[in-house]
Amino acid sequence: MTRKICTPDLNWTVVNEPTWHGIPSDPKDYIDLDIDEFINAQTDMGANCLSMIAVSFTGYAFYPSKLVPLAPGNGSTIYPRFYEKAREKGLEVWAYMMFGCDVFMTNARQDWNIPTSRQYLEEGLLGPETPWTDQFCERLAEFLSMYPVDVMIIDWFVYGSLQPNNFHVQPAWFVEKPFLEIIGRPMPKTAEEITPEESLKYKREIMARAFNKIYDTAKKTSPKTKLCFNVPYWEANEAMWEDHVMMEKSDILMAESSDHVVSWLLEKKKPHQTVMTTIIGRPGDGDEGVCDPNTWRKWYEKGCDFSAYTWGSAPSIVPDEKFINDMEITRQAYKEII
Amino acid sequence: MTRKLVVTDLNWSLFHEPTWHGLPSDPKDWVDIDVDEYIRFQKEVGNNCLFLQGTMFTGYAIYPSKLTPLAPGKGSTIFPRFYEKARADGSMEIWSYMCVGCDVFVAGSRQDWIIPTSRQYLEEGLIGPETPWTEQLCERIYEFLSLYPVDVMMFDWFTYGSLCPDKFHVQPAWFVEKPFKEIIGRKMPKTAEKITPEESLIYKREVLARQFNAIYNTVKQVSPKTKLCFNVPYWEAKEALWEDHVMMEKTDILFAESSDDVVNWLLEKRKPHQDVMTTVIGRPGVGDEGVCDPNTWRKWYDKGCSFYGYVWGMPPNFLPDTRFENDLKIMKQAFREMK
Repeated sequence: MTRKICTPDLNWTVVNEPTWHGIPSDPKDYIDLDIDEFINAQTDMGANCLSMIAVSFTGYAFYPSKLVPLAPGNGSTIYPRFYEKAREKGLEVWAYMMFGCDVFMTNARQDWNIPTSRQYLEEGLLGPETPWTDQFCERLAEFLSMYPVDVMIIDWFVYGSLQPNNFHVQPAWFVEKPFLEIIGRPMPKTAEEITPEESLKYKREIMARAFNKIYDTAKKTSPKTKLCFNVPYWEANEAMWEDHVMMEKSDILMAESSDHVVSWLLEKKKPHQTVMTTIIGRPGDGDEGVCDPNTWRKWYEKGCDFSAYTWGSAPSIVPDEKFINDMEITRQAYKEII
Repeated sequence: MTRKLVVTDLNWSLFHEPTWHGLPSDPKDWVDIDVDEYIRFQKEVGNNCLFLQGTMFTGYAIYPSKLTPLAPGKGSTIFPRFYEKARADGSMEIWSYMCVGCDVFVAGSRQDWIIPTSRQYLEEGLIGPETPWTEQLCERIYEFLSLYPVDVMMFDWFTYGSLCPDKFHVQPAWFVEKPFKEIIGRKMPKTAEKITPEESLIYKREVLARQFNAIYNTVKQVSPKTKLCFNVPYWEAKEALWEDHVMMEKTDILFAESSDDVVNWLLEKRKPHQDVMTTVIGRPGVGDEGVCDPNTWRKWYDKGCSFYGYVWGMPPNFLPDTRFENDLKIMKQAFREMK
């Protein structure tokens, strides 16, 4: 089966002033979401998978968690209602959690942030070496025990920057112990005293440990749930990820792009894996064309799955007009894709 | 009536490792709190007021809000249960709390609402009163008081840019542009250095007056009998930012988060309708030793002050850390001696 996804991304909401941009959604933004409208928005595009966020990257849950702050009002009934209706439709059901950042946690637990990470993402990125990874796994276990979805997407599986391959490890209280274990010498006082080779080795091992915890948690709670990690990758053959356990064991290798990264993942894929390309998304500066729906046929012929996400202006999930052209191309493509 | 109020402050959670320190409470920290026990603790200290936050400064509500993220699990039933029991008791004034200057959740997700450089003074960031935050806060206040018209509402960190707002110099920002022109009468300059100290002071006073009025009007509209208490905190007597400020004129309770000379200043300034409250347990920051001194209670009692104290616990146990034992003992005795 070729997976076809096109989902309104409730992590964000579009603002037009002073210029068009997305901001993290407010916990109250989508609490009156009409589940039928949300599902229809996906099936009308021709999607054969239904996707919905379990915990927004802002740090609030759409399900009745005992661990995560809840979207206000009836917001925590949204995922349960979605799950029930999605299961009735018989389509593959996806859910989403964010690993690298939880806006609430990054601000409430400043000392869990990787030093200098706010230079690359103003909300900050959490250190996988901190108690965050255990907390994340507790959330994942809680969620999957209630909603054993078919696929769980774990977003921003990164270290220190959304371009973790280029990030240089920084000394921090939580780096001290693993640095000694992994590198074999005490953590130096300054980042300059860490060599590029040490930095790479450290990041790979830390991300392997985080991956293994997440993987084991998911498989223990819901063995049939497939795992899909989004880094995102920015270049093919990034040293950080070559032969990394995450790439070896993930069920779906995801490119948040439709560029040459996809070819790299296709080269790397194992028999049990599929490769997913993103043909609508990545609306950042300089990202024009990185997610290009016009590339669909090339990737379809190579056996890829397809992902697309759009943003609306809360409380509306209707995609901003900026997405209309891409959506038409994708809708037509999804009709042609078997 | 002399108000007597010592509370466990659920805004914060205590940790002993690597050293004794408080961190903003996690939304799940207090979800299993026993409301009866929470009330009993306050009564046993000798309070004649009962206190519980509606929304933590971290940014989660413990009541069923439609506007603010909720404490997980049954966390959003905590305040309703507290309120019901406190009202049933009937003998005690009911207090609640919201933080004005910071909401950790909002500050994290609305970076462009944060006053530039404020993270240098409070790492979570302080939100500009000129941004849409003030309107959001007022919506929350309206929602909360329409559900729970408490007797006193405490508004914490009524500040600008720093927890020492008197010393903070106004910084250019997108949200400063329009009010700066209105208040100062010239265009906002591109750098902070081009704003004079006098302009900075005038600007801060006016912006905070506007925010105060928005909050005051909201409270009085939805729950006219609810009294207001604002904590800045003040650090020195006669801070230029606050002298004859509308907040100090109209607040029902002039609040010192200290038991030092700030209290004398507030006593001088108080109007007939106002109460002055001193904090005799609290302010656990570096260099704050003795600033909240329970041994000063008799002096302030003789001058007609009300009393506030706050302690921290280690979740899920809200009972105070042993570090507070001595101070609590003094205040229990003091509260017994007060009429």
